[in-house]
Amino acid sequence: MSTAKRVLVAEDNVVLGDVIRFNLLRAGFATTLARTGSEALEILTEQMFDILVTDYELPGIDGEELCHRVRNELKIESLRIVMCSARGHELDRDELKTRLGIEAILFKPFSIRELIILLEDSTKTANDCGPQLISN
Amino acid sequence: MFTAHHNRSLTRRLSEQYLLFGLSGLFFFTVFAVFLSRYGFLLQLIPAAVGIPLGFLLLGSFVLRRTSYWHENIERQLTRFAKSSDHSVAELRPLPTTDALAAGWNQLLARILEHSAWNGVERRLSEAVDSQQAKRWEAVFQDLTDGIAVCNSDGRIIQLNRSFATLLQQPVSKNLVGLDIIELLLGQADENSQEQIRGLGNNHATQVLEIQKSADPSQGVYRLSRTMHTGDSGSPADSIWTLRDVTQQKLAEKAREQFVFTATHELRTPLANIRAYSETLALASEIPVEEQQSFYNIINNEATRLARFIDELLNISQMEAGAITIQKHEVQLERLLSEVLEGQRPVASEKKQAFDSAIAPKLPKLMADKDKLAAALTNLISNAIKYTPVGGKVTLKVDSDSTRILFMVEDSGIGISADDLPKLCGKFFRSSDERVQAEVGTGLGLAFAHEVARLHGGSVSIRSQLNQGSCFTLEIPIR
Repeated sequence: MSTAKRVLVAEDNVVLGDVIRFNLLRAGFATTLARTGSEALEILTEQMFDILVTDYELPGIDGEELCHRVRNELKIESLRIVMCSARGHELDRDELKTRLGIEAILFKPFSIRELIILLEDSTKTANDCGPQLISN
Repeated sequence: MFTAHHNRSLTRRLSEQYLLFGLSGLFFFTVFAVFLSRYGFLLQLIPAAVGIPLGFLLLGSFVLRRTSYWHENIERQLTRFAKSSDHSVAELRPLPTTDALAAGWNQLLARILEHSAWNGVERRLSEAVDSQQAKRWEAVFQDLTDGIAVCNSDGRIIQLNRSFATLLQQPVSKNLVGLDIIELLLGQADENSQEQIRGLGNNHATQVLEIQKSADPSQGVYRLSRTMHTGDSGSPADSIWTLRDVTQQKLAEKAREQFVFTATHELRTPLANIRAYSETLALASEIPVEEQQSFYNIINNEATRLARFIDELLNISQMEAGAITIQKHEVQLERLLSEVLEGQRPVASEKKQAFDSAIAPKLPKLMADKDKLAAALTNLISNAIKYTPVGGKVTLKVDSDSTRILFMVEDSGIGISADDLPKLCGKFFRSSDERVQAEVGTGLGLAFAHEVARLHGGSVSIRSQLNQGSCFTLEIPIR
């Protein structure tokens, strides 16, 4: 890996955010943590990222709204998005994926290792095929 | 009383009388003619031949009229009765009782009149009963809490009750009869519901819709049903519309869904943390010992949080089933209060709140259920912390008088609007204030505190001002 991939994690659960960052840093990702949706938006307007890992439930601007703004206001199409949620199957996964260009949705409690593998695969695909908006 | 004479038939009586007059007339006429012819006065016989039969004829007809007078009278009355349009027995007249026939007629008439009088009374009575019943049905129709309207085949209202007008929020004074029901309903429905109403069509099966005034269900949700009522001999169908206010059920349903969502979220969050940390510890190598230690602590804390939430769920399900029981023992109040306070202190300090207590030095002995009381107080304090912004103030004051102990939880939080205040202790209630929605909560904590207070013979009272703060007072009698 020539340069570390940049990951922004938007997670309001402090302990979970910390452990995600701990693991991502160890896996070689340049990781930034945001506690709210609006903080994440602010960071995204200032810096470039490869991947956004966002919780669905965030105070104020929630994960869905955040993705919507990323795609429609900030117009960042190259950003890959992974969403995690403590919601169960009431979430329409396919609809969210298609509408907001989300690469994967993980249900809590998810495996950290699974997340890391997903991010590694995702950045590899990005290298191979270039930015891709919608992927199943 | 009929004599033998009256038992003979009319024809016979008439012919006998005529025969008697005829024979006697013939006899006298013959005697007279013989007498005259003897003295040669036969010529003078001609006027007599005309006059005498004429006299007898007149006499006969008089007798005949006398005999048949009552019969004719009765016949006339019956003919008139038959020809009259209303067949009223009131027009039949009794006859002077000179004759057994007239007496019979009079008796018959008396019976008929008596009968018809009874009929009249019966009819008036049943009319009175009917009109009272109709009035009662009308009152029932008007007082039904469901709105009901009957429309003709064009969809125009023929009849409706008060509730229908009220549910459609039409002024009482406005006459809705004759108006188009679809138009009226469309005026009270949001876009989605309007579409459903338009899609009703002419299907003869009963249709049931749920219509909503606006996207916010608390503005009103109604169950609308339409039943076609086919008239006799296939005449165009009337339709019967009923409207029922189901706002409260809808809100309760939503609150329950919200609760399930909150509960699963509350279970998954600590579980996600436990999984992430234990996985990290298991997989990552070379983690500094101090960091490892802090990870173990986090797992421990999250497990405790999970266990506490499960306890809460159990309390709630007991409360839901109405099965909370309390066991009163003497409570060591100081210890109980310090446990409750220490449990909540970390949460308050995370929000940088001033967390104080003011406990009166000499509190009386209290007989109570220690665990339930602690859970109720914890609920009140954790609510206060939750709904007080960062840097705010939460205080527990405990005081007593001769009959009761007061636990007062004061905060400088977001407060409660006057609208929400009365609903606050209801199960699953959560304010629509976005500052409340931003926090995780089941909407059951306060209901639980209320139930615990009630079981101890006490109460929870609330004072609050929006954006200023609140004070929840849990009051428990000493004995």
